[in-house]
Parts: sequence; C-alpha cells; structure tokens
Amino acid sequence: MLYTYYTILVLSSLAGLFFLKKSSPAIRLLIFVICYSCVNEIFVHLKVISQETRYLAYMIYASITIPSYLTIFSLLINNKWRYLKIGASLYFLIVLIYNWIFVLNANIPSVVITLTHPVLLMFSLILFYEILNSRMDMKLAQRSSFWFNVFFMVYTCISYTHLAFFDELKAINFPMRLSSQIQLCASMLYYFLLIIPIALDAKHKEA
Amino acid sequence: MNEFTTNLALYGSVVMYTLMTGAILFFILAYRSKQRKHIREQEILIESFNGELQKAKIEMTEITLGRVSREVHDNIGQTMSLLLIETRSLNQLNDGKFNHSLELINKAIKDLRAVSHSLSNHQLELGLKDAIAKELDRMKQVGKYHTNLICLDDDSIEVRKSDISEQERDLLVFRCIQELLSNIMKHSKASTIEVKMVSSNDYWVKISVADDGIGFKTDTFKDGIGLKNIRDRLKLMGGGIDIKSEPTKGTCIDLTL
Repeated sequence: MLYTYYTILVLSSLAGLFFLKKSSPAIRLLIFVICYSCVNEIFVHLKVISQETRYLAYMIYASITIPSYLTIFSLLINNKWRYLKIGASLYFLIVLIYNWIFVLNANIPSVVITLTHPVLLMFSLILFYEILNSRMDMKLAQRSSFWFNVFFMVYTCISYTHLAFFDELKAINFPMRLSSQIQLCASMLYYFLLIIPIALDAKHKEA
Repeated sequence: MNEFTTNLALYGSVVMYTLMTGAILFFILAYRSKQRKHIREQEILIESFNGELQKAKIEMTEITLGRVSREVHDNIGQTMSLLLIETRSLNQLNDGKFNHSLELINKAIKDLRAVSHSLSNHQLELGLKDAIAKELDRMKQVGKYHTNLICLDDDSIEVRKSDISEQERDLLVFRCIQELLSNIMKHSKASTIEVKMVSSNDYWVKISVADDGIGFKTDTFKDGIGLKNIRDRLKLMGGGIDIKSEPTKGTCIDLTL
C-alpha cells in the first residue's frame, strides 16, 4: 500500500509538472506542495531523514505546506477578504513560531494542525462563497477551484481527525493501525484526485 | 479531564464531518440553483436582444422601402410622366400602334405608382383593413384574380399584449400579408384569394389568407426567406403562423396576432 502511495505521489507530481506552464499561480503553488510532499515522503522512506530528525522534517514540512495552502486560498479568494488574509497570515506566523520554540522538543505532532486547519477550513468555506458569487457561465464540474476545494476539505477533515485527535483516539482504544490506513488511503486519493483541478485549470487557461 | 477531551474529540469530529458534508451539499445545490437562474436570465437577454435586432432590421427595411418608394414615385414616375407628355405631342400619325404605345406608357406609370404605394407605409394611415383592401384591389386590377375581404368580430378571443406599438404592429402584419399575397402570385396559380380578418375588442387578433391554387405538401415543405421573415415578424409581436395546404386543394394560412 505504501508503494502505491509513493507511485501516486510521483505520478501526481509528474502530472503537475506537465501542466505547470499552463497553470495559474495558485495551482502552481499546489503543484509545488505535491512535489515537495513527494520528495519528503521519498526521503523519509529512503531513511535520508533519520528517526531522530523525522520530527524536525515534519516540522519543516508543516511550516512550508500549511502557509502554502493559505497562500493558495489567498490567491483564489477575492481581495476584499484582504484583512482576513493578513490576520490569518499573522496567526499562522505566531503558531509556527510557537511551534518551533515550544512544541518541537515536546514531540507533539498535532499542535500545528489543530491550530491552523480550522482556519484553512474557514478559507475553504469562503472559497465556496466566492465561487457562488462569481460568474455562472461555467459548469460546476469544469471549475478547477471547486474540485480543489472539495478534495482539500475532505482530506483536511480526515487528517484533522487522525492527527489532531491522535491521543484521544488512542485513549478510546481505537485501532491506530486502521486509523493510519484510513489516513494513507485518504492521502493517496487526495494526491491522485488533485490531478483533476490541475488539469482543469490548465485547460481553462489554455481556452 | 481525559474522558472530557476524548468526548470533545469525538463529538468535534462528528460535527466537523457533518458540517463539511452539509457545506459541500449546500454549495452544490446553491450553485445549481444560481446557475439555472443565470441561464434563464441569459435566455431572456438573448431573446430581448434578438427582438431588438429584429426590430432594427424591420426599421431598416422600412426606411429602405420608403426610400425606394420615393425614388420610384419622384424620379422614375416623373420621367415616365414627361415621356408620356412628350410622346403625346409627337402623336401626329394617330395610328393604332402609337396609341398602343401610349397605353403601355400609361400602364407603366400606373404600375409604378402602385409599386411605390405598396412599398411605402403611408397607406397604413387609413388603417390595416383599408391597406389590405387596397392591396387586394391592386391584385384584382391585374385581372387574374378574384379577391374577397371578410371582416369578423369575435370578442371572446383573448387579445395578446406585446411591447410594440399598435402602428408598428399594423405595419408588421401588413408586410406579412403583402408577403403572402406575393407568394400567391408567384407560386399558387390561384384564381381566388380570400382574406379573413378577425378582431376582438377593436384589435385584429387573427388574419387568414386563403387561395384556391395548386397547394403543396406541408410535411415536406421548407420555409423560404419570405416565410421566415413572416415568422420573425410574428414572433416579435408574440404571434404565430399556421399553414394548411394540400396539393390541388389550395392553401390557407392563419396568422395569429
């Protein structure tokens, strides 16, 4: 299953790189996130990142990908939400600094996600609102931002449950192996399905 | 405390999944409803644009016809009248052939005047009924047709309201009738033409043009430019056309206004 996950990550990265030139800035950043995730996962697998530095690698990964998602939403959402964007950026900065200073040594992986993902989900809802208020001359299924938003929302909810409530799930004797398998399946599907918004965006830009 | 956070996590997850599913479903439904509304608005806009375009086209046609009518009446008509006067002054021989030429010139002047009147919309100043009656008279004068104009009143028929003025409406109907009469002359080989006009509460609501010509098969018949123009004109005023015809049994065309 793990190898399927790596294969999908590589395929998604390659597909992303294939459409890179024709993509909008937000989707380019998404492609970067996919590629970075791919490299990170391969490095972890090849043990380039050791067990000791694994958590540090995760912190770097989170510090790069989470602000990247915020930037993607900022690029997709209208500028009338600029104060919210600025506020969220400052909040993310504080959370990440706090994470680096106080949480890194405590080895608690869920803090950064617990604090940032609800904000990202809020931006996801704003993006839905923005799509509803945009021009209606395109079918919903042809909208790149719609698919990205749906996949992101579902994936974030699953990740949030898995990571943010990791300890709580353990406490109720939830089989953690099953939880990890669900998380892995969700990641596989997420990265695989992200090819759809990337391709749609390129197609739309080309048209 | 531990139990509390566990419950919080579980309930939090349930609430989050419910909210997420709700948000996605709500969004899809709202988007579909908004898109349907948008499509309806677009259709109305396109229809209104086409109507305006059609109006402009008809206006342009009327201007052109008016200009042609004036030119025919003022220039060619004048030249023909002068030709008649000058030809008369040359009439010294007073033979049959010369008189025949004079008759031909006279007929040409009459025809030109009739064409000029037919092209201009001035004859509508007397009203639609009189304008159609005049048009039928003109056909009668050709000598090939028996014409008949019947006017009926039926207040039970509902009068349709349209955006265009009564004058514009009369002009559109008149042009439709002219087109139909012209088609009869060109294709039908008819000897009798009957126009039936039905009014309701002082509004013309239905006009039928019937002939006893060769007819045609309606199922294989394709609209020409003339009929297409009639359809466009009627559509503009919210009306319709019904063609009834059979080979050798004549044609009856009903215009619903």
